[in-house]
Amino acid sequence: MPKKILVIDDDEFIRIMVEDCYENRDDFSVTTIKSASQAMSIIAKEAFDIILLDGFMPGITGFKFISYCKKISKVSKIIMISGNEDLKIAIQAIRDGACDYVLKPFTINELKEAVDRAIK
Amino acid sequence: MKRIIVNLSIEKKMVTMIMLVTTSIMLLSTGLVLYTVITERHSDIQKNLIALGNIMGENIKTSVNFDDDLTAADILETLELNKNITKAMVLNNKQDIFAKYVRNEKKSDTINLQYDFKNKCYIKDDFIIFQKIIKDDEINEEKILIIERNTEDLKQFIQQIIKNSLMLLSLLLGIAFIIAKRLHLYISTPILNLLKTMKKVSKTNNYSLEHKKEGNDEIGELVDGFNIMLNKVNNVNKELESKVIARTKAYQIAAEDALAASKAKSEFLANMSHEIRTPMNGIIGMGNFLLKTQLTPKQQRYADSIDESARTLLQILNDILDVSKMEVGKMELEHTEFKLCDLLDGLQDMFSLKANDKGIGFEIYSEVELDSYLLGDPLRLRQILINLLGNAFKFTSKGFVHLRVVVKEDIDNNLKLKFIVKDTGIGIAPSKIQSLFESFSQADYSTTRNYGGTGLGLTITLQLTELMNGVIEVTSEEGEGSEFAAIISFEKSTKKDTRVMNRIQSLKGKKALVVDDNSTNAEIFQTMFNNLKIDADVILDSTQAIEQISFTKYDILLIDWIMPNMNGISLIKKLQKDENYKNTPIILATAFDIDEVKKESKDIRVDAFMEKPIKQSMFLETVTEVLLKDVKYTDVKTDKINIKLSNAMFHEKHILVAEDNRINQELIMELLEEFGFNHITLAINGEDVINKIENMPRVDIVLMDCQMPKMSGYDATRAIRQMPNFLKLPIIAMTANAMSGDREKCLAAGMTDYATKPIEPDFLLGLLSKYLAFNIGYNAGQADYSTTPKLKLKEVKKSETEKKNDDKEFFDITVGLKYVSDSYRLLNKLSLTFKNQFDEYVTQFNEARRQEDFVSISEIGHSIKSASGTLGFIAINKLAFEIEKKGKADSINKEELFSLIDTFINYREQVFEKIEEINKLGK
Repeated sequence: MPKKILVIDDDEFIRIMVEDCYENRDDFSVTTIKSASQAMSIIAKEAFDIILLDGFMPGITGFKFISYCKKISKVSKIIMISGNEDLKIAIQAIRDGACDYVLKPFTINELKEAVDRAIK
Repeated sequence: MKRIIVNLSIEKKMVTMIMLVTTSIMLLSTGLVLYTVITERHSDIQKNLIALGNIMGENIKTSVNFDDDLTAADILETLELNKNITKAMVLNNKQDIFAKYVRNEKKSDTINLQYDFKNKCYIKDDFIIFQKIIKDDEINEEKILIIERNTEDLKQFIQQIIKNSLMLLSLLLGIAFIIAKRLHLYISTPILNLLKTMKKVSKTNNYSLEHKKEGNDEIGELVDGFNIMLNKVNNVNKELESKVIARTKAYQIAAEDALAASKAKSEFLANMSHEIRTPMNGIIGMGNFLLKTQLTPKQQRYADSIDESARTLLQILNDILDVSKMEVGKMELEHTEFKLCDLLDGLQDMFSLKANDKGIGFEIYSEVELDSYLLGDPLRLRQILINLLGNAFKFTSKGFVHLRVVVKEDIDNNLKLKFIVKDTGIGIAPSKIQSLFESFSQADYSTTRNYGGTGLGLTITLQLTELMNGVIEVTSEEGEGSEFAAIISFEKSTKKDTRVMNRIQSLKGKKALVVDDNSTNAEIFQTMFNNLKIDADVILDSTQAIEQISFTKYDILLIDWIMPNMNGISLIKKLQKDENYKNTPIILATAFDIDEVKKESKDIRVDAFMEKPIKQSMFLETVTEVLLKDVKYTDVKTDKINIKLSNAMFHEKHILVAEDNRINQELIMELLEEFGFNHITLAINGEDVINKIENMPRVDIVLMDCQMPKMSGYDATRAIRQMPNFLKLPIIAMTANAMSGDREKCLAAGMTDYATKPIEPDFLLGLLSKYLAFNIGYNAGQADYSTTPKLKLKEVKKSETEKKNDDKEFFDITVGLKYVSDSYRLLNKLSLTFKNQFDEYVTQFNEARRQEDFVSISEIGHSIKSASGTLGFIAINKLAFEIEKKGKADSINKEELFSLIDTFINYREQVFEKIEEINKLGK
């Protein structure tokens, strides 16, 4: 059973990077989506192992969306992706239920490591 | 008995003593004398009687010898002469009477012969004596003579003598009493005199008195002792007095010193505040300009820190000033009308951002009627609430901060309000609550290290509250949070906000239903509805709402978007199927982005959207708008003066700026240019002001620094006001003196208004707009507007695109490769995406620029930032960062922002070139 990853990011770059990264792997399947509001209906229907969530998106921001994610999809591990270096925001995200925090721009290795840590 | 004697006065004591002695001696002696006299008399009588017996015996012997009883009786009869003799008898052998004599004898009398013959003489009622008469021849026959004598005379004598003695005794005692009465004076008078003196001394506290000595006896010694003692007391007293005088003098000097010191302190503070504020003005102002320039992220961080530190320093300075003002009692409260809900709305704006940043909930709700005005000092109340809220936010990292305003009492025109600030922060240990309000004290010194702050905030809060005759209550539990409540009374103004009042009037009696799963939020909505006199029911579970509306008919529904079980949109869909609710106004509330909700709820009818947290004023607007669609209100909106408008307004105005500090000159010039002024004249001191103003063709307003060399701003203003043409010229003081009284000083000198340094750009803009709204020009001579100022258009700064970029600074492939872990393939793929996006970005930028949609510009910048960063387009990354930040800034420099966009568009060819290179490498 492959691990299911959901990428919620308005940035096409990030979506491409994550998709590319796990493209030929049997143990992962990646779904990407542009906004938190679209993600709402998806996570309500389907359970994901990992949700990669962008912190700042137009509309509902990722930071606001964490607690909703946690409520609806309890099993998901949420990894925040953000360009904000502010430690306080990171801490708050972790408090709200994120399991990890990846700083943009990140390398593919950093991403993979974060995902591996989350699965463990 | 002893007690009674002890408590008697000396006079009585002495008299009693003398009389007791005298009486007892007299009684004794009189008794003795009496006894002697009476005994003597007694024995005299006895002796006489015996002698009489002897004589009578001799006389009668002859008759006895002859047994001649008649003669014997005659002889006995001679005793009649002696009146005291009552009876005389001669007995034969003690048995039968030979002869007898009885005085006043009666026939019935019987003579009793029972005598005691053993004694020769005895008294039994009467004196009785026996005398043996012996016959010469017959020895055997014996006759006895008995004579009885009464004791009447003796008795009388005794009675008489006792009577006399008693009379004499009482006479003597009377004399003794009189003498005793006199005698005691010799002893008691000096004592009583001494007592009088003592009383006088103790009454008048005059220790210099001396008591006159009357004799050399013990009392004299007592007087001497008393005088010595008095003298000593007097000396000690005098010494003390002189000491007290000396000390008082010393204290007076010390008090004067302290007063002088306190005055010096407040003067020092005023000066210090001026001295510190002048450079602070430079730091904050220049910092602002620095932040608006293009900075590297590092520089940006440094500049941000400088700005933040300067603002903190200013806050500390203000705190210290406040405290010192209150210490010298200089803090004066205003008494003006204000609307509490406006004040609270301001706080909501102020702290919402902070709450968002920290990710904690923040709500304000008030029970005070929306249309009422209060009388008091709104600025100080605001300061109290800002301090309390600031603290709550400072110590809360999770949970919420609430400000609730509860009406405790509403009697006549007095409104007692309780402002409760509750948080879920770190809390305070009970033992530390007391010391919280002392200056420079936080719950713990380590707190200061962790959370910053001067520790003056709460002191000021408490003192301000007390100044308003209020109290502060604190309840807190460590780790759970704190609750600070300020209870302050305000007078209600008779004024009402008629606009709000009318609206509430029209809303009265409506019924509302609030559906929100969060009970706190629901409660807040309920309170807000109640403030509008709308009755509101609350349903926490959305699935029950449908049931609820079938029971009651509601006029308005307020529904939260995201709820468990059934979200707001699905609920509305269901509700609107009900015939009764087809046209009922519905408000959809959300804590998320409104645009998002709008998108989601496209296919249903929602009358208004509400973003949480909502201000009461907005709530009122929304609810009236939705409920009273047909009623038209003509509202005047007082928007912030925007710079676009002011630009045009200030173009032709002539402003004279007087400022001696070079940095501040630069700062104010730059600010004024930013506001759109083209005609700025600078004067460096008061004299310069006078010179310049006389020669200016036209002047519309003067900004005047108060402290300047040669001639101060005050003097310059006075001089200007002497010129008849400048009587109404607006002169705005700029001063770094923040102590109260400065404003008055400025106004007294003739200035029109007042701005404190560091100059807040918005505040200055407000002042300038206020005074320049009317087009009146002033000049020194006759009005001469012939020299219309020419518009001097600002030179557009050369776009920085013309700088030739160093290749490495523009694009660094190693950066890109690092992010994709050296996968040329992926880098290639991404760069192609970027290429495709580039033109899209350009289109979006142009569209946003046309609409002046700065938010979109910022968002586009954000997207470009992350993409260009990952690929290694360093210059573009920086540029995008700038665009994102500038687009979000509070005051937007449009020209600068647009020129940045131009720079980006101009990079197109270079970017495409580089992507081509990556492409080649990827293959």
